[in-house]
Amino acid sequence: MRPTGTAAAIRRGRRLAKQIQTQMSSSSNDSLDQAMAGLRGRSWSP
Amino acid sequence: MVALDTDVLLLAFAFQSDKRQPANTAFLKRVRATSPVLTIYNLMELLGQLSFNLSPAQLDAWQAWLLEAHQLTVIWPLAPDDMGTLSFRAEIVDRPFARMRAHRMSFMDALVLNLAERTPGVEQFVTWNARHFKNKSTLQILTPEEYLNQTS
Repeated sequence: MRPTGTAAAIRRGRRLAKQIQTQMSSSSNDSLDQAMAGLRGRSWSP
Repeated sequence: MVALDTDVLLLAFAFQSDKRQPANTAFLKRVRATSPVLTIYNLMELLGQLSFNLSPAQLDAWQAWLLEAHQLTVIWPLAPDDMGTLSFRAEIVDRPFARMRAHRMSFMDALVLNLAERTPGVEQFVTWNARHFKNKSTLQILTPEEYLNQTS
């Protein structure tokens, strides 16, 4: 499963990624470490 | 070729104010040109985590905002059309269990490392949890910062 790598696809992908980043910045209450500890348990120890 | 762990992408999408974000962003920008990979297990873990905040339409567009935006290729145990021939027991039980016994590791960590190690061309695994993985894999384990320093 590979990216197409076309300029148009990359532009659209980055625009959508930016939207998600903006949306997530106002909705995430926990931290990366809390989120990863929830997913991986005791093995998350950065 | 570099394999990415879920945390690198989760940080990029969800935790903009994290102090690791500048290095994480610089890493993702640099690694883009090297055709980085993500295991199917990491992909599903990431989508599951983001499903709590994204709409169904946004989730449907994951190939755009993930693969195209970061030039990522998803790796599978076998080509997706050949998955019917995969040994479920070996992939989901035997290999992860052997790694858990040897290295004390979560199920997801074991699944991801097994697949990354068995994929031809993958030499490095990048994660902010590198300390946990060191000496537990045949791959070179690096944090995004270590990758940047190594390739500068």
